[in-house]
Amino acid sequence: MGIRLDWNEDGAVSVAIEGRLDLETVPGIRKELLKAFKKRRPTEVVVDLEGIGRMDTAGVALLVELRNLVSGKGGSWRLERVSESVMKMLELARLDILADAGADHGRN
Amino acid sequence: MAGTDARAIIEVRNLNSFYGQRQVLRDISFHVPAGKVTVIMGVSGCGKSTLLRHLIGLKPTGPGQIFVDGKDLAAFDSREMEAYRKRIGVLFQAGALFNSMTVQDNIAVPLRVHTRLAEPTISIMVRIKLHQVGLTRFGDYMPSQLSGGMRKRAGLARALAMDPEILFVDEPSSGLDPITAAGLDDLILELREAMGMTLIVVTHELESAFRIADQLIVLDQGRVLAAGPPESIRESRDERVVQFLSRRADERARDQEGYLAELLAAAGGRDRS
Repeated sequence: MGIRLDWNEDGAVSVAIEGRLDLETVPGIRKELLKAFKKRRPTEVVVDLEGIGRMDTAGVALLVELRNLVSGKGGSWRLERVSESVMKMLELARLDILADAGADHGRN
Repeated sequence: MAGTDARAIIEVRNLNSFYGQRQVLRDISFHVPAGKVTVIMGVSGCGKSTLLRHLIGLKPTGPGQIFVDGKDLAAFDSREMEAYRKRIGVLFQAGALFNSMTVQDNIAVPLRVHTRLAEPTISIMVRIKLHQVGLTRFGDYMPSQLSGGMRKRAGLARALAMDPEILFVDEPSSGLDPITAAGLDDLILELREAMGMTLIVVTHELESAFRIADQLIVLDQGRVLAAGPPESIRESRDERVVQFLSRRADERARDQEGYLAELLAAAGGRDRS
């Protein structure tokens, strides 16, 4: 359970989240990601959600916050390998647009 | 009885309930299947809301028991009761908002009290919940500035704040226009579908009950008159079930306290001595 960051030379980063993304795990995952992005500003963030077992509204809120953080600084952002259960949560939050690949590529 | 093979998250066994000497619930037994919508329905005064108070631990069980995940609710210590309260969300009939706080602060209360979430995360979650219940632009309002129906929706947003495993809803349609009420029914079905949430809905609205229920419990004068999937209730030949479904209200089933108050008021109004 947790996150794995894989940076390339261009400053693009793949964020793989494993296990739960919910009320209990979001505070720790958020802290870790903010710390990493403060240390090194990403040009592109790809969030890989294949390993997510459960996501609730706190998880959706974290994805929204990440998107704002990255695209607000000119980086691009997208979700990858969105499972059916994660998609249902995004739809429940009326935010399935977040899963549209290429729908949001920041302001670069 | 449940008409479904899902695990029973709550089991009510031979529950009786009293207000003073007056018996409100009589030998009630049923299961609440996990991840399903259970609707408790009946006319006013049949004991629906009292049953809800027992299920959420607000009214101690008298004779009879309520089991949550197989454990007797009456035997919960304070730590177990706190854990149970974190698993449940409750929408009371009037919304039960804090009048001194804005709507968005009301929704944020459980998140600030029970989680370690950062304020930016909480702020986004609150806006998501407001949007879900159709109150996107009303986060800054005080409860007193909202209509009854809007307060109800704000109450639902707060009940949903923690994405509870079990959501109790008391009369979701009361005070709402038909379109908003249908929207709430849709949201209830979405919550079950997307989150596997267990919902226990108390209502006297037949149309809504049949639309959302996986299991229906029909209460009549404190007893379970019928229980099962909607189709079995609809096909029931029991005279009182048929009578209930055809909305021919039975005078005996009226809220006796309310009825007595009406009679006393009528008598007082005519007293010219």
